[in-house]
Amino acid sequence: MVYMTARRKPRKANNERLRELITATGLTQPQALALFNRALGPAAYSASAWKSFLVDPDSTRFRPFKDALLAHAEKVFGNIAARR
Amino acid sequence: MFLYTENRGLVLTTHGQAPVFQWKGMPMTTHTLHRALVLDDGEFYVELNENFAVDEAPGFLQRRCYVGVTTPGGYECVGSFAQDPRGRWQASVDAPYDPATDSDSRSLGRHSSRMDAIVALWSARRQALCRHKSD
Repeated sequence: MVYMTARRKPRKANNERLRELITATGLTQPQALALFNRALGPAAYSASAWKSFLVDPDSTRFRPFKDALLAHAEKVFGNIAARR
Repeated sequence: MFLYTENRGLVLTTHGQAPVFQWKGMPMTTHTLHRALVLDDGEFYVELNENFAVDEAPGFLQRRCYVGVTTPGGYECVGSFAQDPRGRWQASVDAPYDPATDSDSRSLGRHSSRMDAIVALWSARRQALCRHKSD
């Protein structure tokens, strides 16, 4: 998947929160992606897109993590982090 | 915590200890814990982020829609509220991408209390960009 634009990102906080959630679960990024994608079916995200959510916000590869995705991530990873 | 509804199609029934929300006779399928649900009009609802303490939790504005490939839960997130590093509460709703501001969300301002942010979010719920049809 290729992203054509490198927008200035208004939602860095969401990306930071995603990193926090993954760290709290103790999962690797690929493991976290597999879990995140489990309920998304054909709308699943690629490894490339996943990395773009997690790179440095100043990177041209950076892509904002939208509220809708954060809401999904909170449900997916929150339970795992709570059980650790 | 409170529940507000203005939609008469929304019915709350109790079976033993577990309350069940129903819409048009069908159980709701949003998997939202009842303690996290703060506002609900049958179409839109505001839920707190369950991974934070209730008193300081940010949250999301969700809208019920059909169950589809991109909405497996039967809802879409169309807004949020959260506390910024300075302690102010900000709210925003999804909006069409605006090249001038390079943003696809519309800020609803920064507020001194979480309640004010929720009120702003709730008032603007019908202005949010919804990508999916109602069910």
